Amino acid sequence: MARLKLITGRSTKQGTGISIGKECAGYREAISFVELNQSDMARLGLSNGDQVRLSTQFGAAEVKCCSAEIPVGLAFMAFGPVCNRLIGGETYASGMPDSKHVDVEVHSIDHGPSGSGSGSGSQSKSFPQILDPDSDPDPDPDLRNDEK
Amino acid sequence: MQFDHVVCAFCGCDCDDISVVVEGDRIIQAKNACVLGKAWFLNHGKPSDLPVARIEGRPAGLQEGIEEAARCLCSVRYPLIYGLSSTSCEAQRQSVALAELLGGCIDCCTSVCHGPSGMALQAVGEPTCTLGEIKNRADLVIYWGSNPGESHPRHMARYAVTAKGMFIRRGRKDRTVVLVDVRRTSSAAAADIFLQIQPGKDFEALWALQALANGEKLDEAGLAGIGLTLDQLTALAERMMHCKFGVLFLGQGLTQTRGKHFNTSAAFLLVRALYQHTKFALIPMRGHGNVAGIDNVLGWQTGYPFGVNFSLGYPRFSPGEYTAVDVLSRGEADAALIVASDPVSSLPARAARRLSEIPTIALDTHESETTRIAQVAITTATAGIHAEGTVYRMDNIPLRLRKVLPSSYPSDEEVLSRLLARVKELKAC
Repeated sequence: MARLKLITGRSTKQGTGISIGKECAGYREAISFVELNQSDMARLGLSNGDQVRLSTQFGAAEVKCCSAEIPVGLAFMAFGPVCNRLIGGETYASGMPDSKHVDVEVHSIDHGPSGSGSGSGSQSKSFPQILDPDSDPDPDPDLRNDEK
Repeated sequence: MQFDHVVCAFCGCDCDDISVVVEGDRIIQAKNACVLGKAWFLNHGKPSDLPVARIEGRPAGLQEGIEEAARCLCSVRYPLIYGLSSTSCEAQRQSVALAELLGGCIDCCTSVCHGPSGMALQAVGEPTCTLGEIKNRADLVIYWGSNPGESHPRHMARYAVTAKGMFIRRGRKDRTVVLVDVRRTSSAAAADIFLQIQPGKDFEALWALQALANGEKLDEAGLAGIGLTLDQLTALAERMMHCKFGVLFLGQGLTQTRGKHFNTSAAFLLVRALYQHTKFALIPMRGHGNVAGIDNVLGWQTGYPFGVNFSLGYPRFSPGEYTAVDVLSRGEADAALIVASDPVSSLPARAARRLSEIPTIALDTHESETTRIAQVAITTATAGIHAEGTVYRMDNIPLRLRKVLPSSYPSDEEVLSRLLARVKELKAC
């Protein structure tokens, strides 16, 4: 397990996927992986494409990981419903939630490359499971009650 | 058929030099558009088979959908109107009138992108200019917490970096470009100087630069943890003070990090300090095509740019109290009207979940997570492709959207004006 800082932001694939359709595979892929520094990946014994479990005090998600040019200690995800499971609703009198610089734990898991993680899956008419914080009842207990 | 000088309303650049080629009932080409613009024109500019309205997932007529939406909005106590960043100013006006009539809250995507920049300009003042002035005059261009290469792909080429201008005759060769960010993004390749700052240290760096611009002496030890040395900060401050015309483009790296409006206020105050030395401006890198428009419409109609509450019959402004994430996360809103936005995807899960628990009405041009959970979903024409209208570019310049394709769907403006009229009738009963 590694404790990192999660930052979320735009990516070209995420941006084009908004227009192509959020059900398309390209968009789903773009919002369902986390970029990590190579040394953080090595520390966790991870290779590109491995599934990891991300956990904050607000929720958790399982996504694929890949190495990227990003400083040690940071994790990056593209904006979208998957990373929003990891973001809280408190805005500290600003209207803006903390979408960057969020404490996150990264756990290596061995579901296999295709996985059945929370970052993938079909959508239903009811509240989408991909977005549902209650669908993963076990956000990290150490982080759950932390004050940011 | 080819339409020239078409505005792309996808992002805040609102490039108005797009040539759109239409064949039959679809757009087949969008010349000059970036990768994001092409995806927008080509995918919105093709036929859709969505019903014009759906009630609880059942196809319905437009009038039936409007009737159900009006009945729903009139039967609740604290409705939220949200979104509005990808529709015309004409539709936005109708939304403000509706919020006032209903006595609810109206908020827009600004609150989760550059709301903190709006709060900073209220506190400090807005040292702004147009993108045209930047193209023609700016010899120092700084992107801070922004990755325009991926979020605004033509920003550098069309307005700020490689563009040749009246007094920047050689384009890129006459400008110095600086990128400040916590990671080396793809935009760094286009910069002369990349400064990698530590996450969460923007305020400290901006405050230090302000001090340097004000002639203060700084101690290296006091800068520990920022990720930039005193020499780096001094060199950047010198560059800022001695340029002819500088511009600071603010990204969400400042607004979405802890500190938020304190970060942006520090940036605005830095630019104020630089006015002692030279001409400098600041422009937030607005995301959606007309998110600046809803700030303007709300501003001229209520006095406030986002997060406006009409519960007492007059507008009140309080970020954190009347903003969408807050009224949804706290479970206060008891119905929602979502216009041209997909908050079920884009808001934190707790706020998004509330939308599935209350009656939600969604107006959108295509299927989204929000239309899927909506009690009433109305399919509308895309502003800028199927409908005319006005948008505001990120520098608050209004541009006219063109209609290049016919549509069987109504515009957001038409649906909202009919909804407003029906709510007036029901309220009068």
